[in-house]
Amino acid sequence: MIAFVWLRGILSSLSGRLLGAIAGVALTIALLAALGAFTASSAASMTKQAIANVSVDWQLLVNHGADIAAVKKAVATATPFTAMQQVEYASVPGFELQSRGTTQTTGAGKVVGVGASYQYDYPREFRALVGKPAGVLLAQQTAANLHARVGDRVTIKRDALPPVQARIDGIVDFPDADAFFQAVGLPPGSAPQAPPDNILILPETLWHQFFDAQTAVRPDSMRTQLHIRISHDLPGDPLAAYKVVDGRAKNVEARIAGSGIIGDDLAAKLLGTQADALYARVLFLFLGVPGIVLAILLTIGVTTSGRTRRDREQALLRIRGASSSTLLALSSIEALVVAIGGSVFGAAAFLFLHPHPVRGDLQWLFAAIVAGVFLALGAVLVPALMQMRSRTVRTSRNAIGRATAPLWERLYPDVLLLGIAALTYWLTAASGYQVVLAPEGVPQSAVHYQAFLGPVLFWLGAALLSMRVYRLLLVHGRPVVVAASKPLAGALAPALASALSRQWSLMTRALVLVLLAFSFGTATAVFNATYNAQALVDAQLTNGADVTISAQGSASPMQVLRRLRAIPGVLAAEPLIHRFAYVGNDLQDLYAINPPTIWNATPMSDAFFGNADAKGSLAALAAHLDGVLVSEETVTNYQLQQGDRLQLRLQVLPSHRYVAIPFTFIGISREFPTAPHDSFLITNASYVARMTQNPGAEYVLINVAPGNIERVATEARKFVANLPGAHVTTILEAQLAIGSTMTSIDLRGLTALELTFAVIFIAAATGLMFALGLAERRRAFAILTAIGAKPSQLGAFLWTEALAIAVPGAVLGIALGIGIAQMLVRVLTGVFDPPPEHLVYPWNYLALLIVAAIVATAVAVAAARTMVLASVTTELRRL
Amino acid sequence: MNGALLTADHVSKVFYTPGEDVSAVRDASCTVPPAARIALLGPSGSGKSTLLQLLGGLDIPTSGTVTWPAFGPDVRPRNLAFVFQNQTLIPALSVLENVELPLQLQGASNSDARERARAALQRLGLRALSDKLPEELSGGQAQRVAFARALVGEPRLILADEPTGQLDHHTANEFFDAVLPWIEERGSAIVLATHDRTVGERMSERWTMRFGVLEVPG
Ligand SMILES: Nc1ncnc2c1ncn2[C@@H]1O[C@H](COP(=O)(O)OP(=O)(O)OP(=O)(O)O)[C@@H](O)[C@H]1O
Ligand SMILES: [Mg+2]
Repeated sequence: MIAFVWLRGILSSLSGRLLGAIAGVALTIALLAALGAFTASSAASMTKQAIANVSVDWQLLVNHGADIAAVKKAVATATPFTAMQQVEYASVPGFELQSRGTTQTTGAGKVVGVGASYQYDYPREFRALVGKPAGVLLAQQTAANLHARVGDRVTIKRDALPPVQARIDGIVDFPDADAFFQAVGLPPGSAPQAPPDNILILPETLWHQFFDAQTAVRPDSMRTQLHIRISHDLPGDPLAAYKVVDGRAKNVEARIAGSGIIGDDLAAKLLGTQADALYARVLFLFLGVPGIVLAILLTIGVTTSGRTRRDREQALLRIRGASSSTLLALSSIEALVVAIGGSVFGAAAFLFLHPHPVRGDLQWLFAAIVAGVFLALGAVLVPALMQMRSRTVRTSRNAIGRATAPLWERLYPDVLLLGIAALTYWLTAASGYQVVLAPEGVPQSAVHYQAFLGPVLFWLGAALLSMRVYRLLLVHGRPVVVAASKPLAGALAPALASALSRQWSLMTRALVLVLLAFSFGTATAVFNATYNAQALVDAQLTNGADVTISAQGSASPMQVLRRLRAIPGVLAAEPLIHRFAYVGNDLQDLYAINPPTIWNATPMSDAFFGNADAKGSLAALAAHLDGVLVSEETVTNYQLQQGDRLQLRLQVLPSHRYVAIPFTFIGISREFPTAPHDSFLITNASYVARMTQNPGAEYVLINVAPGNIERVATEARKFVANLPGAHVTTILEAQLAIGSTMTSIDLRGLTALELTFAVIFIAAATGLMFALGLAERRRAFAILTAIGAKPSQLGAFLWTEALAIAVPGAVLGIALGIGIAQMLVRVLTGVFDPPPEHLVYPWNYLALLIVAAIVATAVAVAAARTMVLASVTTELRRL
Repeated sequence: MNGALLTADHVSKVFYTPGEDVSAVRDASCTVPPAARIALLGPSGSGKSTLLQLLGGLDIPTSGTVTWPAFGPDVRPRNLAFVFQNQTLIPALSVLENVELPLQLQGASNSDARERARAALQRLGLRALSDKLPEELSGGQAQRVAFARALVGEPRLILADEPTGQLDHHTANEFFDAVLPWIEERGSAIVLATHDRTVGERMSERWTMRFGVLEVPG
């Protein structure tokens, strides 16, 4: 479309202006609608994802003595639901197991009673590791403590009652234990309760058999809950969905008045999501609004171009008897054409981007069209009205003339804006604030909108300052301009410098548009690249490597290591031992690696280590066979000094007992692939394997050639299919599933859109603005040709003028863009986990922006040259 | 003809406009010898400007040819200068800079161009206007500056299209008192379209145009 606009612009400045305005309005509409639709749909998909991630929507704690049937009935009337399960909880003093000549006991625990259909309604609550997923199920940690196997009889101690025994049918994993055992009804903000260390699950009937008697003697140790999944037909906006869910929960509580209390996990999750949705909006504001501002400025730039010339044309029309109202009518028709044309093309562009629009998309499109129509009317009619007034009172200021500083320069808004920007930036960035505040227990997250102030004011201030400096350079820096244009313009350089200095107002206007377009493109691209790199780091930390294979118990993926390495596309496959070790009484994750080769499988960032030196830390580990890297917290808790000896207790294979093994403290670890965020240990694999007499690795980390992840994962799944409990996960899944706020927002759609628009903006700002600005000076170029300038000299003149805008515009714009990207990353630093170490520069894209500018300039200069050469005599006949 | 600066051979120009086709110049033939002083007379709309533009190579004839045998490939601005009927100073350049322009187009150095432009303005009594911008000049002043710009490169042929159209009789004559000796000194030729009889009288030859037809006496 832009090309079309240019083509027409070459033919006639008036219709070029018209089509340029239509294109500007269309761009504005398409961008606004696309951004709005993005924000709405990302909120909806976040809501959907959040709902899907909650396993039990409501845990309704039924008070002692309440009528459960009545409570169930109240729930059924208050909300549609798809599952309601009664779950019994009993606290017990401990478990005991006698087998193979030893007796193992545990501390306090919980015995849960569930109905046979519980697993069917909530398949993700517990997962069978060994044995059946039904019957008497022992949690894995408890099984480890008791050295229990399927078929063993476990003794359950009871409060004030004799112990009972049950035969173990299966060993399970409780991935969601925190929620399952949450303390319902605690005031918001109270410390979360840790799930019990020991858990046993019984079938409903057996539970009642064992514990109904305990209810009589120790009612305080018993709980009854209803696990409810309500209907998920909820609004797409997380806050709206929250309000619906919360309303229903309140309704239930009111109906059952004192008989129970709801632990509303769904509402809590939706609240958390609301913060995420606000981040999406923040990004929309940060990245999208400048684009819209730019589209509007470009439109206005187009409609106000060629003003002097149109002044003259209007004067001629008046001489021929056109009245003000006729002229206004003509302008109104023009505005209408721009509004309709812009709407049609804008809607077409939007529908091209969204071939299957949903209702929300169309609402945004409609809103964008309304805004576009206002823009069209404003951009066309306002300059026309101003023109008329200035004609009648004869104050029209020439675009070309003596240099008098514009009024704004004397008020120093640029310095003021930059000052405020620096201050707000300093205040916000220095105080370690959060852009989105999600206070505990308050139903609404708030965006810290002041945080925008820094970057926005910086953008405006820097643009204005650039205009000032550029004008000063043109008007007072003549020797510089002459020297700079000499290579192209040769002997014409002095004349060119004079001409540029007298048309500074045209030049600075064009410069600021080019500068804003470049800064927009650069800031978006740099921020996006940094963000993607960070999301990758995040995903890599979560998943461990491109493809990760994990297994538990005796099944070690080591058995298939050689076969994994042979899969085409696998660059490296490294085992990673993951065990648990007691540091004092504290059970921590222990990772054992082969330091020299771990690099091949997964990137080791400097940020992982306390000394910010990945190479050095791994070398130290390689040099100390019994070396261990521990968390900062552990260092402070145990007052560790470099070289201290540590006794860590690890499970040793033959006996399954925890045995003290000596280690040497050599450094601090902060993060590690697959590791949780809190305390963990890093050691040498060979040492741990030898000391525990267990060479099995629980993980294999695989580094895959780009583009092969899915295929390698599929192959790997085949190999591990018969390893019990083995899982293959990919970084791609991790990227989708990561819950950390920022990275959960899919930026790709947004940035692809913006990066495309940025290229168009730059082409438009450099090429179109130059071509349209030429309308003011076409006559000058015609004269130049008439008095004897060769086409090559004309070309040099045009090129120099175009480059005088494009080069400083691009340089300053890119610099400004990088500055803004830096500020954005800084301002949003709280949401990166871990924060990026440095900006990532997408050189290819930046090169594309420059190429777009060069091509657009070349096309515009060529067009201008042709146009001037073809119309010399006609131009000279004009008055 | 031997040594002719310019030869036009059966030159015609037709403007194809939506309503009708205008034959602005019909089958014109002429030569301009060195040092000629020719007045081109004729009523308004008779085709004087069109003919001059064809002779100056600014426009291309519909048929016929225009050649500049003495100039080689280098016509404007070195050997031929044009003075236009309308205001043709470049608005962004001062008077002095406008006059320097033809010299710069020929690659003259900055200081050389400046010196010669100053001298030209001085000679035509326009020195005081040097630093003004075109928008600050009267119509007549602008026309004289445009003439100075044509003369500054001391071309061998000057085509002037009503260069004093906006001057009163008296001033026009005074101006030519300054211009003509300079042209003579250089041995340049001039073809000057004018409505002003007295200006016409000062030329040694008079051509007339009527309805696009050029009449060259003799
Ligand atoms: N570009 C053009 N398009 C259409 N018609 C043109 C064009 N240029 C000139 N004409 C027509 O050619 C004819 C001759 O015009 P020209 O300007 O040569 O006359 P002129 O003798 O210079 O008149 P004047 O003394 O008023 O300057 C006129 O009828 C004019 O309308
Ligand atoms: Mg004429």
